[in-house]
Amino acid sequence: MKVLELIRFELAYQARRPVNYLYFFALTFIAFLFSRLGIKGIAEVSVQVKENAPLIIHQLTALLNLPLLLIASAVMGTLVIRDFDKGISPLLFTSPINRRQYLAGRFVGGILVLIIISFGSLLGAMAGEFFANKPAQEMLPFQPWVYLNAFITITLPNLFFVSGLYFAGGSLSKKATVVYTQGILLVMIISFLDEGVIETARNLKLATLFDFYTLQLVNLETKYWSAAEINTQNIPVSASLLINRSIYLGIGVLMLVLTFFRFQTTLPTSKKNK
Amino acid sequence: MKLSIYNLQKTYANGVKALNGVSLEIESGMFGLLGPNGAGKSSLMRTLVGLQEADQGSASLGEIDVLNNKEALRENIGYLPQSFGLYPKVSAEMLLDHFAALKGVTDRKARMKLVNELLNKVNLEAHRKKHLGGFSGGMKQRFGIAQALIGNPALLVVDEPTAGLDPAERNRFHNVLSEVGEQTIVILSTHIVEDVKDLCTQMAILNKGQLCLKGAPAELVNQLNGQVWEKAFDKAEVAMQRQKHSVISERVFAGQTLIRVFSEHSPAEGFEAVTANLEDVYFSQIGLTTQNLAQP
Repeated sequence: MKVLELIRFELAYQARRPVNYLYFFALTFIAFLFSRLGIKGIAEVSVQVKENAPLIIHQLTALLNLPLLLIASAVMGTLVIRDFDKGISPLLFTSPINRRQYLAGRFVGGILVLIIISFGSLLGAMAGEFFANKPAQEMLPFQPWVYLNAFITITLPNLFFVSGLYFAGGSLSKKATVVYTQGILLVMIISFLDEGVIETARNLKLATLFDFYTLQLVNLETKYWSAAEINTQNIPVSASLLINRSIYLGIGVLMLVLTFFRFQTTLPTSKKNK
Repeated sequence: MKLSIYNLQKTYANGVKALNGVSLEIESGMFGLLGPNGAGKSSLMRTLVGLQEADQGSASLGEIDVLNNKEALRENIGYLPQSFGLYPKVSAEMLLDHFAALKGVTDRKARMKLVNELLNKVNLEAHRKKHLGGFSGGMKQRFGIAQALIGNPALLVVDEPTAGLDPAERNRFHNVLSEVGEQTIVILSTHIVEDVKDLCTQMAILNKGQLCLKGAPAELVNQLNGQVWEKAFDKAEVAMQRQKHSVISERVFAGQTLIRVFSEHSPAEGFEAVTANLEDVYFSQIGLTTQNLAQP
């Protein structure tokens, strides 16, 4: 019950932060824009592939994960830091909640807010299709489940992974600089993995298991698909994709376990107290 | 319920010995903990509410092991820290409601009623919808006591609660505390002697991490009666008088310095016996170190 109360309060608290609405609308706008203009041009596919083919929607969803990485650091990394910065932690840590309840309440509340914000990418991308800057013959009929499928496959596991990472960084260091450094490092590491490791790997199949965006993994699996197949078939839920997603979900879980074990509800002495 | 503290010790990483073998027994009622800044009061308070680990010693609240069973402890305490903050964009009512839910008041109607009563008790009912970011220091402090009172705690710890309050707010605060102190153990940590004199039935003086004295304020004052002497001196003579006598306190009065001295007999010609007060008890215990620093 206390965890539910902590989650309820977190949602109510976050609902009062204008910046969350800004994140949502900015993400919706970016998604709308990319979807409207079409990203087929940057995807290496045949001209016969439709603008809203499942593979293209998969790629669009992956692309929209990049701004979400940064938004996640601002939302998830600061959840616990906030209580220390505002000075309310002595009141919270002397109320009858234990650290597991406290952390669970903050994490679940935060990630729910992040998921709601990330719906902006889903809604924007879907809406963009109706205003697509393409002739009707280049488009397939609207298939909302394709967007939802890509959102569930790429965005949700990635959000859990980065949330775990930022939450651990913020909660254990209690420093915003650590979270933002994490954010920058993460983008750099993901880019390095993507361009420096996976693209040059001898065993591409093995390397794509660590593909954060799952772009190269899916490209590898759909490499020999005809344009007609790309237009009609959904992204295959392969063993590789499941392992890939499990790796990222697993790291997220590990980060949470680490936080739950290492976090202390004792407080360092304030400067006033000698 | 009784709070028993035995041989508490705490040394910080920088080598400061904040608590040096503190032992105390505290029964229901208002208990004043006096001491200068840096005496170890906040360290003791923070240890008792579970925000800090002790290096050694033990403490129990009734049957609860204070140092090792924090979950049970937190079910039974209210704490107003020396310094704390609140969420600025949240209303007083909303945050108090949240604390009440965390403290186990699950029924929504009962919680609303409790929040109303508490806001009323600390005279914040008119500001219930106001964001906490717009609260003055005194209002924030009153909110702090309201959250500490949720759930009728067996132990209420208030650390330097009246610092920064205007006289009217201080009086109101005292009234709330004394009302609570009828059924609860209230530890009032302060360096303001008057707070203890006005409110507490029992008190202790802490200095440099050690307990110097414990008892009922009136009894401690009585023990000093007949042993406090006062005389006015020119400023130039004060230093010499300090060397000659056990000076309790000094204060400037009509251009001269009034010196109060502790002595079983008249210390010298011209000294008059005066009625002892709690300040004499306090300063006779902690010495003049703090006061000298404060004077020009």
